[in-house]
Amino acid sequence: MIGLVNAELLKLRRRWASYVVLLVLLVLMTLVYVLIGLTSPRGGGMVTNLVIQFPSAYAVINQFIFGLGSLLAVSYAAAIGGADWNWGVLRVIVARGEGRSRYIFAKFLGIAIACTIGVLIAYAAGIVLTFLGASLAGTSAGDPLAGAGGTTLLHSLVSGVFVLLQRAAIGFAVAVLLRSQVAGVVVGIVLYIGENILSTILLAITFGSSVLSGLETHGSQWFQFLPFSIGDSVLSAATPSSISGDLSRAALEPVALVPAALAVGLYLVGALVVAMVATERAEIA
Amino acid sequence: MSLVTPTPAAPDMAIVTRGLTKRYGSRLAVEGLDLNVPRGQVYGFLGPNGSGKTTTLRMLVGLIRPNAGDIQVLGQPWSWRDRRRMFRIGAMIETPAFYPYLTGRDNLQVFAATGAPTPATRVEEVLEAVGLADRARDKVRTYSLGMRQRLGIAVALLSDPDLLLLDEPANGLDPAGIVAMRELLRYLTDRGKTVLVSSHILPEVQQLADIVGIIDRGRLVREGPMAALLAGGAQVRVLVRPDEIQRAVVALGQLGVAVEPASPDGPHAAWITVRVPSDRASTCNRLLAEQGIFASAIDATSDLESVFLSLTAGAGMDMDSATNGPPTGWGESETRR
Repeated sequence: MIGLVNAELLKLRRRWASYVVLLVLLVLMTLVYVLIGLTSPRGGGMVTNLVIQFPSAYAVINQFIFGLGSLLAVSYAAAIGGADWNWGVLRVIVARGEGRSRYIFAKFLGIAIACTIGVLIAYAAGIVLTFLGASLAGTSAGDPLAGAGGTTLLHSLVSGVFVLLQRAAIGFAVAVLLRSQVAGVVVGIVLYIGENILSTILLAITFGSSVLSGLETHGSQWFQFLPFSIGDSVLSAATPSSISGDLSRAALEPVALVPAALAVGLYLVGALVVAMVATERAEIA
Repeated sequence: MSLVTPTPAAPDMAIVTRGLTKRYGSRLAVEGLDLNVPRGQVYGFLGPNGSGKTTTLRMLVGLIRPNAGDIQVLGQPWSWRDRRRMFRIGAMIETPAFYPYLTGRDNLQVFAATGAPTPATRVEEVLEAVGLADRARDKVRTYSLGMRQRLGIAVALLSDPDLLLLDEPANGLDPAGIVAMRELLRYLTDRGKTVLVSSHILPEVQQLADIVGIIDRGRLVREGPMAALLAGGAQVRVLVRPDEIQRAVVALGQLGVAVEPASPDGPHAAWITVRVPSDRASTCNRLLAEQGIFASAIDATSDLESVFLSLTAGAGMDMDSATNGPPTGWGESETRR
């Protein structure tokens, strides 16, 4: 298994997509922090300081890395998962006597390691960019490890990677089911965005459109357990002062951490089982 | 209680199939196939396009499941989940597939990590064996068709298999590459390995194979040693004058088989091909003589192509000469796709 994972890591190291995905995230983060820094009043304002001062800045970093980053992770995992079908290499691997489920599992482990490394790099960049933004705004970012900062950082990373991998696993499973990297990427993104839209519609249907103003907060709803939504509850537990860009979610109490984490785990395992079973049963032409 | 009697173990055989059947919807791709591939020989697996060759190979390596039938591999019953048995098989099915952004060496290393445990030194050995050592650091996307084919053979050789299944291995190879491949396969069989080659390049198979199996519309129509197949060859050619072609065709038509007049071979002669076994050459001669036609030559030697065409009625055949691809050679690898 170690040899298989090493082979996957070799493939991922050599693949441009691994670097492009990270680069896209870093460029967008840099642009936003520089813009915030340059357009803020000297000394920052209340909202600006939430963005570029620790520990509240962690919520913004999380939003970038586990929000936009999740979308990129879904695409990346789908591209990697579907490529073996597109290029026909699965045929070679199975004909060499490799176990299908074992191979799929190793492949996802490789993706998980690559995503984790990407998150660590992006998170480090996020902290540096927060200091840059604060500096441009003429204020101080504060100590990222002061007070609850260290704990928030640790919780954010652990829960964030967990949620990001769950979302990547869904993209991966979709691509394996569709046996195509392009279809996997497209369907993965559509599901991700579609679920956000669906949640908003369901929220409006349940409470009326006034709820979308975000001024009132309601209890947890069943649609918060949808595959891409449930991770938000896990993330919000890591950063209680979360600044959500999604008003529909700001209007609802997050699901409690334990059931939310369990649900994320179930989706993660379920997606991998689906990918493995689909590959086991596939007739490879 | 099973209604099917298990196929008796055949330790001398590399592959035995009994009643192997694969159906895609209502279409039978392979129907009741009984193959017998002896160990230590080159087995030529022939058939027109769409006759079921690749489907059979896919079943033999567990890519697809047969609807019916038994498979024995290397003397033991085999089922598609028996992946450890696959460790002793090397296969190249259809066009070779690789990671295009990886180098040839990286591709081999990645594949060596799958399936049978493969020593690290094996990668360099197989690169050398297929003459790709000097291009091993180049990305596969820059390889020519012939180089990809050679890399595909290298992948099949990675686990030093006892049984090699190669689907159209000569595709894209230049003449020198084909000769080198032939020598490599001979080298392997001399060391007790078994090679099954599926091909439509009949002259190549004729030179290479010891045993031949011909499949048509999913059914095995002939199987046996190459020498025996050619001895019962299926064509006689007679050389007559151009003005005698019409009368000769009528005379030979009495045999009730296909008679193919060729274009006159110059002003003085024309060959006519009669699809009969070579031992009926004297009958052809007699029929012509009875009409007062005296052939200036009779050629009763047969080749695999004529045998093949007589057995498959030329159905869907896409035959190729042995000389496709640029003349670069096994050791030369500058040609890019």
